[in-house]
Amino acid sequence: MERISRRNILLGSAAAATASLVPTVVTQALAQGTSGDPIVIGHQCELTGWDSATGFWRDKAATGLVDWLNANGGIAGRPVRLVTVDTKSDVDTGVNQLRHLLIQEKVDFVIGSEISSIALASNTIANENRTLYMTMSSSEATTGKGAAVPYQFRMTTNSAATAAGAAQKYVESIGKRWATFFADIKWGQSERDWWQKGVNAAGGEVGKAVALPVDAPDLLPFIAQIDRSVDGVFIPVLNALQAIQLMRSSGYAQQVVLAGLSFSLFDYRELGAMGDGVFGIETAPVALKDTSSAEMAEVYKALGIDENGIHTASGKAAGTSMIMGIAQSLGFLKANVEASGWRVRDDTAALIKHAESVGTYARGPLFPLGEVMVRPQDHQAFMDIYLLQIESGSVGKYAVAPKESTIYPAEVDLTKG
Amino acid sequence: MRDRVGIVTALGLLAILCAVAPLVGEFWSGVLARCVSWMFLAISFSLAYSYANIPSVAQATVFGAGAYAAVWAASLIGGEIVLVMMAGVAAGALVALVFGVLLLKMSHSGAAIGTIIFAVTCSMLGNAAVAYTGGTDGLPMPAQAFRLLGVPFAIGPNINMLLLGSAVLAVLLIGFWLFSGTRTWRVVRAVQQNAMRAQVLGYNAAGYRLVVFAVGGCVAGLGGALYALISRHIAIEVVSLSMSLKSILWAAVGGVTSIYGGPIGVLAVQLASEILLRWTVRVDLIIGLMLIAVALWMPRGVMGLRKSRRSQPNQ
Repeated sequence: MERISRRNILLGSAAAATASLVPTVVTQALAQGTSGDPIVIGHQCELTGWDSATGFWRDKAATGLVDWLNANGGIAGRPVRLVTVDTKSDVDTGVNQLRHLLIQEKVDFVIGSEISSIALASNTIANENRTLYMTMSSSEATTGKGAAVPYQFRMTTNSAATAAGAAQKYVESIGKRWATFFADIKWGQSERDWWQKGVNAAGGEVGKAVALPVDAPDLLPFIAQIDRSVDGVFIPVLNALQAIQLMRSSGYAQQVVLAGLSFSLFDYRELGAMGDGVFGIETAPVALKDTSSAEMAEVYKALGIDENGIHTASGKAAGTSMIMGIAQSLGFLKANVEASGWRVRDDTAALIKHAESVGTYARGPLFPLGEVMVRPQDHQAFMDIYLLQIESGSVGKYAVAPKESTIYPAEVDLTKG
Repeated sequence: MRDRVGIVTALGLLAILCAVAPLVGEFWSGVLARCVSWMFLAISFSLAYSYANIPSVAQATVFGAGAYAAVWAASLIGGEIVLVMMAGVAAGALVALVFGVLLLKMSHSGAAIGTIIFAVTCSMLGNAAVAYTGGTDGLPMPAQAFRLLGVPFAIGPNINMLLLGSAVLAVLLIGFWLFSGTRTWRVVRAVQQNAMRAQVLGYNAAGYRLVVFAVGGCVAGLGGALYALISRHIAIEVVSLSMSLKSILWAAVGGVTSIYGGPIGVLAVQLASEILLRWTVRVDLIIGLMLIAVALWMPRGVMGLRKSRRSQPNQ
């Protein structure tokens, strides 16, 4: 009779443990309908630092939507693994974290930073590494001359597109005379320039543009320089909440339009009564009543957001433009991986060629608000722009600028190789 | 007096970095290369604080001037790395001289406040001068072929730049070690310890302090140029006050009274940050606690430990 040794007991236990694991793994994979090596997506995100308010939403969206993808067949039947790193809202850390994703984690694709300086420094590195970089930066310069690279696509809007699309509507409804109060950084300057072009094209005029230094400890001396005779004030600043509060308490009654995606920078409810009438430019409404999209309701459900656009767990108002940017980036990856037959990172060049031939992405679970066009020349997406307005303490849809009105001339042509 | 232990420790550290780089792979070689560029910044703070007697909170401004000068020089004069580094040195020296002339007219505490004002002002000017600095979006290093003394050389966060940075730093440290045995250096120390007495003895105390501060500027500018060659992209954050504060922390951890302490401080803080970043987003909190511990139990930093031990039998 064979002796029962300690080694046999240990081996037996290990085998039993392994066996008990196998059915679990298989069941899970089958339940999710995915198999094979995971597709690894790196997410270079602002989890901490000055831009963490928007990073919160990109992180929630990426995590929630990757879970949703895995529960709904993954990408090309393969599971998706998300690796999120924190840029600390700092260029140096952000670039180093991208290198970590590319070299250490060997990710297949990257969803990039929202901060233009990090995005501009990163897209070159991703391009050299031949890894597709889905930039989240909304500075038009990221896909402009000198910065556009073949391995970068942008599935969210940008300063040029939002100004081009929104200026016409606002000139028609608010008035022809405008002032701009802008952050004296490249993003703010870009918003200022594109807004001026948009207003001029719509038959209006922009008078004095007041520059706000990025480190200004007190906004009031700068706000006092805004022309009080204008019909509306366009505000591309990072501390928009404080700017509006100071404007209203200083007696400025002009209509205020916040630059693109500002409602993701702060919770609009913090403005209280001072927020009434304030306009914003976003890629999605906040409340579900402003859209008939069942897909958007599904996205909200996956992310734990109620029908009024409030995130149940945190109580925060949803940064919908951030959510849309992530959803459409994942939708782009899913569509092109599946259609181009992408299997490994070496296939990415072919995926890009294929993506350049896809003019539009139809409405679907990851394009919940309708068709999105992608311009092959600079890899920039165009989508309907939602003009929102705060009224009686909630933010609602004021108008929609169709995607065609947001198109501006491309500065580069990446299709020429 | 020459600090033999200090120079051996610093050179040994650089030798270890270069030796382990091929073993730790591309990512960590890049991390180490960046650390070496920051060592110049930490050393420049030690020079300004401990030898020029100027508590400078604007060393990152000087470092940034070197970095921007490197990018501009590469655009104007091409990709010869030696010339690019010389542009960084010149820019660092020039900015430090301008700061130094103004700071020497202030009291010790006034100079500290003055450097904060310089740092903030330069940061704001840099943000506004988008055409020259790229503002917050920054400037990329021109995409061109780089050469070291005519030989093609790959810039970026790689082992080449780690070796180059380490070699330049080693030469600098050896040069400093040799110089620290000279009579001129004894005068520098005398001025640092009691400027008025040195003045009475006939030495131009202000002149000595200005020259040391300018040398610190050259070191920071050189580090900035190396940083630009490694990062290949410079944003205005590099001249921020927070970057200057980092240089103070590195110098404090390594030992602010020794220029050999800076490299140790950079490695300790940055490697700890890099490793912690893989586990938590609360890195700054943990590093902050680490620094409180250093301030409480190692007030003279790592380099101060040997002095404490040496002085213990006498206590």
